[in-house]
Amino acid sequence: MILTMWVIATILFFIFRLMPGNPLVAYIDPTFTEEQQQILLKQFGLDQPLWYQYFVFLKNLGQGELGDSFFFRDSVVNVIGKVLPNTIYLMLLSLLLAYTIGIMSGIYLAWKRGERIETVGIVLTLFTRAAPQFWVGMILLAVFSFRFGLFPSGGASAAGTVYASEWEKLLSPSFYHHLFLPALTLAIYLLGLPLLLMRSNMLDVMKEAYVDMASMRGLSKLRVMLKYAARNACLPVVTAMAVGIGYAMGGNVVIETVFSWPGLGRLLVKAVSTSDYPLAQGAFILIAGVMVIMNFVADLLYSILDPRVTLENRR
Amino acid sequence: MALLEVKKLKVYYQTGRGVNQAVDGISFELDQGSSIGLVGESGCGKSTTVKGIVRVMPTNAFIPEGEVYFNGSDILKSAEKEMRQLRWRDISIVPQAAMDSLNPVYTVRNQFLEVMQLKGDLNKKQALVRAKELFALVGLNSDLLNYYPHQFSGGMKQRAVIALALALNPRLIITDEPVTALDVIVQHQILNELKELRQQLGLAMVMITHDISVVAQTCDQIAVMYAGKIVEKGKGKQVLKNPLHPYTMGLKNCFPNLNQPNKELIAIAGSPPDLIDPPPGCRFYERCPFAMTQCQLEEPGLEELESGHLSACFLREDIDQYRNKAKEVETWLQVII
Ligand SMILES: Nc1ncnc2c1ncn2[C@@H]1O[C@H](COP(=O)(O)OP(=O)(O)OP(=O)(O)O)[C@@H](O)[C@H]1O
Ligand SMILES: [Mg+2]
Repeated sequence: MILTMWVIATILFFIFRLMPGNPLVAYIDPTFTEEQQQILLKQFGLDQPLWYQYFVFLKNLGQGELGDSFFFRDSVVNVIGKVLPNTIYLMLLSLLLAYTIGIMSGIYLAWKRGERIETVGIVLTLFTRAAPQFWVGMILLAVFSFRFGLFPSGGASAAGTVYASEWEKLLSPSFYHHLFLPALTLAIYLLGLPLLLMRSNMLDVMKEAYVDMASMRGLSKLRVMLKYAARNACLPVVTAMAVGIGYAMGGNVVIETVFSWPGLGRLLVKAVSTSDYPLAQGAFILIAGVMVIMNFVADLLYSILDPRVTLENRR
Repeated sequence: MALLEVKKLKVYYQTGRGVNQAVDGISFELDQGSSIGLVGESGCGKSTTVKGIVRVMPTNAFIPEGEVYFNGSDILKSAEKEMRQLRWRDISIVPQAAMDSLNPVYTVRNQFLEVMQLKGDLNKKQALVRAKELFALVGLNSDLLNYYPHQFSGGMKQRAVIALALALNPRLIITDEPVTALDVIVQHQILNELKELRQQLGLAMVMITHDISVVAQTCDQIAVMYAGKIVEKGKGKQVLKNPLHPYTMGLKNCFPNLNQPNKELIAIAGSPPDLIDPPPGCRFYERCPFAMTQCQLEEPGLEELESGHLSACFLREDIDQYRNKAKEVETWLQVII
């Protein structure tokens, strides 16, 4: 795991250094003199040779220190810390929605195999999967926000509101009011994977002898479907969810933009477009870190959910 | 009154190529406490018969015709809900794939308690006592109850599945190839146990196998199946000693005989006909060393040639002579496939 992180950090470091564009453009006023510019470069350590910068970077990373953002003139940890919770809430709510609805619908569609409802369900799912996120987002905005005024059109809080703490934010209804539409849009996009995966796993598992045998034992159809078929079919779906958290972290750029949601995705776009290396690096390292950890969590979950798998024999 | 009476049962599969007439009108009956062995080569429809009797079938299977009387009532006509009551309480099954017939993510104990609590109206404590009793009955240590199925060996799993089938004191137990996947020693042990248990508990049994020598050990009656039909039926000893149907004679040659251990095993050349479009005459015609012209045109019905001993073959006299011929390799080599 550490090795993976090191490789990622190294690649990120060099990608940003090799990208064209002067990072100081954002920071340095054109009216600064050459001398002042040199002083600034020195302050940021940009006058040192690349390999030296690299080792400083690694050393700081090891201490959880990601440097300062050129653009926000604040430490990267602070800048990311401000928007990260928003992304996490958005992601968790939509994953929860998507996986609950997806798993249940997947079971239902497998149960109704060969019936008309199955075809309708699959076509609808493929549609939600194929529909571009910005398009779904804009339709939802147009209908619920602009037409009926049921939900706000963007942001994470009403204009002018400042929450004293994360807790206060989490307890305020207005926050959820703002969160709902973006979360729904993301959930619609995420829904397809668990649904289709669950359905196809169910169809496979339903061919297993133990499912037939459960019916032969005279257990009820619902029990056979849930305890025997679904319980076994959900194993890969749970793993997919853990891995999905990693992807959902960084993949919300479109939705965060459409809904002006102050999250990590938007921050990342800004960081890249302004050549704010430390910030972009920090954000990417965080995302990569979450992905690596979630992969590990997926393995862990698998070994908890499936007694046949132990961590030792998976590695 | 017979406990189980299967009358002209047909179970067909709808497939992409057409309808597979996997079980095509079989009849047999079984008294309380007695046993019948259903024998035949792979694909002849043995498992399909079981699935039809308890009506737990794949979605593409259907029963176009037939009656299955259990304890006097036609259970093919009863509603799914009544069927569910019947399953396991009255008829339990030791499935062909005993190895994978337990849910891998729950302990064996969980699955024992489930069926006893839900179907047997026992409380948890009673169920646990009963589970331990059952494990002892089949010669398993009761500590093993806490294991997951994958932690069992094949033979242990087979015993556990037999124990599970006995859990609710059913009146009929259907075992589908109960020992096929096991080594000969364990096979022997389990067959003997099964026989003892059956006598001890007085339950009726349908035992399915492809190995005719296995049923000889354990069953009162034998029904020999070929390509979806019963071709010979009678008391165990009768069928084994004096087979009437050439297929049975051939089948006997395929398995080692304890009395003549050095005898060469002879295979029946060819394979059963395609049951999506079965031939009009006898289904064994192509592989039969004694086939006559009549056999290709007309299907022989099951007829009682000796008391209680039926055969579906036009050879009805001088069968001794054919029996002797059937013991020779040359006879079976003549068949041109
Ligand atoms: N789900 C299915 N769909 C279509 N055809 C099937 C299906 N299951 C079985 N069959 C066909 O039905 C026939 C009988 O199969 P069955 O499983 O009853 O045989 P069997 O006598 O139990 O064989 P074995 O000794 O190998 O278990 C075979 O020709 C098989 O191809
Ligand atoms: Mg079978």
